[in-house]
Amino acid sequence: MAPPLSEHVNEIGGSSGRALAGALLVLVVLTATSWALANVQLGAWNLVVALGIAVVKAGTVAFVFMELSHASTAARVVAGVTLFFILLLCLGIVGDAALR
Amino acid sequence: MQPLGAIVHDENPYADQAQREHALRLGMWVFLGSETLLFAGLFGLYAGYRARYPEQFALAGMHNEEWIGSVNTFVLIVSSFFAAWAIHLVRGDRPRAAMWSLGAVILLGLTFLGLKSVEYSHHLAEGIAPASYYRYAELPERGARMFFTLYYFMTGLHALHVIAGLTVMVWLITRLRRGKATAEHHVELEMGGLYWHLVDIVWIFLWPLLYLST
Repeated sequence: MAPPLSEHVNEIGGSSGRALAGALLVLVVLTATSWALANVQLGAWNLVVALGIAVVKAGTVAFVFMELSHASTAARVVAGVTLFFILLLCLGIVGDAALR
Repeated sequence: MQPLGAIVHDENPYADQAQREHALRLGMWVFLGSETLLFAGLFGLYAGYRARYPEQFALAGMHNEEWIGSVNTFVLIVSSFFAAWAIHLVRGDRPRAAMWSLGAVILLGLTFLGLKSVEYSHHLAEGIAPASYYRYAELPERGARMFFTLYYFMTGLHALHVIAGLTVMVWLITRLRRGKATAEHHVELEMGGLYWHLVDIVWIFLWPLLYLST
């Protein structure tokens, strides 16, 4: 039998101070890297690399600062469905541009 | 048996405080999901027009002030850290330190808006305005006008979210001052922090698209 809801909620922890500081360091380094790479001529890869770094940064914010890794299953489902809809949107845009 | 009217008008539908906080957290994630999809639609518009006018979008992007966009990225990232740090401090029963941490969020948010205003004023002085108000002679093409129209709409909507977030931060500080957020119960602080982090995530994607991918 599943434990009562209040027990579920009390299980929710949070990011430790060390994790928060580590995430800040990662985000600052990735931002500096993105800025530096923007001035290196990579052609169309400039945008791909910049967006790739942005995805990693957004994941860091979501999992450490927003504590998605500690969130309830329902909250993680909401985040997952949102991400799925965004991927559908991206697929549609790429398909449109490729087949135009 | 309890009459239906009594159930409908029950002001506190939760079994206990923990269940209420669980519902609030879930509601906040649903709200953030809808906000994310709102911005995703705008990013989709950007991608569609960029595919149509690739050269003009690149040229227009070069006219944005890269240092302002980049400094603002660092500013929002550090502010996001302080928002998360405030929650960490409250959980450690340090409400006064948490207030200072939220104060840092407000200061950084205002810095972000100040720098954005400087960039807007530079653009407007050159005739770079949205839609039919666009008068920039160096880039008269339709693609550049579309870029800047999207630029104003996306960054303007984001700035409104920053202002809303700052208002929430002020409210959270007053709650802390009045002792309404404790180490055990601080769900409002968590939700304010979640909102602020979403503002940060949106900018994390706006920055490369509007300032770096030229």
